[in-house]
Amino acid sequence: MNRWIWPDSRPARYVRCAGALVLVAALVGGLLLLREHRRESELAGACGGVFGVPEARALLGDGPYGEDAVSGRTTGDLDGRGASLRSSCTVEGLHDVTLSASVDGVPARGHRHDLDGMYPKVPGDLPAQPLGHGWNGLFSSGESLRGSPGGELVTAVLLDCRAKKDDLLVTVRAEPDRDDGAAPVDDPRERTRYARVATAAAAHADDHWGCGARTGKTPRDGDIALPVGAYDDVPLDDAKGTCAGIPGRGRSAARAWESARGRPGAASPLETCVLGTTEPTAAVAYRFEALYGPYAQAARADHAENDYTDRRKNPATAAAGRLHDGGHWASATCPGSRERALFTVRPPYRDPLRHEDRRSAAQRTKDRAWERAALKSFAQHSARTHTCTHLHLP
Amino acid sequence: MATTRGSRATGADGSAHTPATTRTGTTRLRGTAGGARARKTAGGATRSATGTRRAAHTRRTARATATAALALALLAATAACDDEDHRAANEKRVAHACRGLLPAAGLRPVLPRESTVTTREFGTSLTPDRASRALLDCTVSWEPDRKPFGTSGIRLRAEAAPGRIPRFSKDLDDQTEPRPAHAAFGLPLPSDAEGAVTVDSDGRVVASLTLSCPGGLTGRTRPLHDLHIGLDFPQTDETDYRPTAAERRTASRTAVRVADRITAQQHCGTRPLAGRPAPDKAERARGAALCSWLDAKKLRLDGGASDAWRPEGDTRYSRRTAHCSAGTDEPGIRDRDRPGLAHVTADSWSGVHARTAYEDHADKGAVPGARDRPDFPEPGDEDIPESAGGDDGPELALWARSVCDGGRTYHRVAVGLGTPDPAPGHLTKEERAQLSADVRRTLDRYLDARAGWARQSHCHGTELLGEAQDWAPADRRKETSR
Repeated sequence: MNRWIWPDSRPARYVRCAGALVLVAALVGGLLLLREHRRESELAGACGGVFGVPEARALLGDGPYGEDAVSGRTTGDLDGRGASLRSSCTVEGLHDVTLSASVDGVPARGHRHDLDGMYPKVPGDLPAQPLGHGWNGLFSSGESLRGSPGGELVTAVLLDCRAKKDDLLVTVRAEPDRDDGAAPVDDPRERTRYARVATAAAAHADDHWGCGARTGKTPRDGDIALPVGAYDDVPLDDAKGTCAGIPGRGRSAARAWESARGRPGAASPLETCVLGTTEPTAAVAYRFEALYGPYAQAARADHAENDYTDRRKNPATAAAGRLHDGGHWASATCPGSRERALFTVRPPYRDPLRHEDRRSAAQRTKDRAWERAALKSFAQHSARTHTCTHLHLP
Repeated sequence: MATTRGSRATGADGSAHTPATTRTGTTRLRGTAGGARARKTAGGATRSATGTRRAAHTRRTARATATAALALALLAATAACDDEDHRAANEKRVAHACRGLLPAAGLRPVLPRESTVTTREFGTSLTPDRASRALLDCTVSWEPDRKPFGTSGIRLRAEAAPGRIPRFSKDLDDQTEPRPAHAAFGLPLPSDAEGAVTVDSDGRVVASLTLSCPGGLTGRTRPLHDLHIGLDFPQTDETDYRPTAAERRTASRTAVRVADRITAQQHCGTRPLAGRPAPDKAERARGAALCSWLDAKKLRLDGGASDAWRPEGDTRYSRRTAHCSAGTDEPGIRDRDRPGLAHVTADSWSGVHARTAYEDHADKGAVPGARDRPDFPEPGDEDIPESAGGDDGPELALWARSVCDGGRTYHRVAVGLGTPDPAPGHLTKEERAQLSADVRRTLDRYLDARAGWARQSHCHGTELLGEAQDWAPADRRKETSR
């Protein structure tokens, strides 16, 4: 009978040995699974799960990320009554990559309290590309014409939530710190990885806050447009994107830095065209911007706050006009937003105390006439892409 | 009831354990066969039993030793194979990476033994439908072997130069600094190509090659006509500031192979660089004469009489750039307590190099009018660029622009004084005027010299752009007039 309980034959010992091995394997497997689960929940639990786990892990590494790696806070909500939603989350991952996501409610026009600086800025001064894939969004590498080689990748998505809800602006910023010298924007697969974090976050935010917007698709591998760099200028006459149709302005504005235009339903909420020269060094002559939704709101809030010189007429108070420090603005009504789109043209800022304006009165009049004509062309093209109407021009 | 159950359990336990106890526990170690033998000996003589026990002990020891030895051998073999496997596998990976363009055999000494390498590659020459600024970008990376210092990784990048030379290597692609004297490319190149191989400040062998693609390179917003190739990898001897002959060969041959592959793929319409004959006598003579105009005596420069003047510079003609300089560590005496000229330099940059050079200098405030531009930082701002002069004495540069064989060209001629004692930069008006005259005379001579670069490059339509001094202007600094 004892032999049945604890048999001592050779096969029995093999069976015992195998059993023990299976047990150990199961234990190790279980521990690994537990660790995996904890790693996943580290991301899935971060800031209400704003980051999609597979998308974020593709950039941050598998973890664990450390005790203080995740930080974030959420205030307000999306129902349009109280304070508007402000949610931000940052994860410091492995490989020196930091991802941060901001989900911001875009309140209807009229609630313009402290909006200046409330939405994440898109860094750099060169045009961002439309995100495409059915999203109303942009992809930027934060590059500038002179000086800044970029380094911060920003993907922003604007969600047009159903009635009685504020719209949602989802911005994902990444600060990769590569030591191999390759710009992360340069690798098409890597661009897609960064953009996917943002589209996953947007889909999550749409669901989490009951926005009910039409969302786009997950970007296909290698299918995110390359952001515009300092050396990606084309002759203005050859412009086919955001600078197309702008009349010529002589040698000082002969080169154009432009992004693709996007399509109705998959355009960018922030379109830019930069005109300038590369002779003898790169210099900006004019900067055109088409600002939609939150970006228009933030710009108007900025004017309302800072335009001391002419409080009666500025983009916050009038539909079109001449900017007091040079340039002009126009506006249009766009579907799905109570905030009018804002179109601006500006020469680069010059400190009047240091750099005297030596132009003659006739020259200034001529310059302004060109600015108005150029802004008209720029705004008309952009408004058409965004199916906006009632364009007011200066 | 509990007691009954207990006694029953004891009985069962006792009967099960008794035989095991008599076998002194060896059974469990030796197994069934041993147990049977032990039972047999238990019935025989005591002496023989003792002998058997001793024999069993010996066998046990032998077996344990054998097992330990086997385990050790296995471990050692695994470690050895592991080591061997990593190196072989790593070399194989590098050979397969980047369409076979990396010199796996030449890079064998720098590949890791203790870790496996990972490769990453992209670029429009690999995947034309996926936008990238690179035609080819390959990175091989690994965890460095257990060394406190040293670098790891191999990087190869080919890209169309979009208006400027990409900053692949700060030591080779910075146009404000002349290339180190030991940065020869090591292979013959045509006059519209330029190459260099050196060791950078991080202890890496870096190669840079720029060549023309008349047919135009695709993949960017507009067709481009200059191809830049950069390659870097760790050097084998980290104490040497120069690459070894083998490293130079590996670097330049790889750069040439990549160049030939891409120019063929992109239909540039150029002949391959590989297998070019060495420069002939006429070509060598042309190179040797490039800086002969920089004769201090003919230029009537102070200090030129000194034997310490050493002219240096290009020995090979390139349509892209030119560099000549002469200097001395013992500046001649201009005045009773003023140092004379310490150095004279002349540089030209054509085509894509022109904008790169001008921008690099402009960023340091070292081009005419740079300090008056609206976007140049105010004096006192933290980000005001340091003057190019550094610890040397004041330097005055004169810039000019022409159109030469290599396209639009900037020329920069500079004269510098030795470090005055005690304070630099205190120039009298006469001394300042003298510097202006010196630099102008030097520029004229440079542009006019028959064997010089400018005449060789058929420069024309020259336009003077102005002076750029690298010391603070008079109104921001105390200027003495004596």
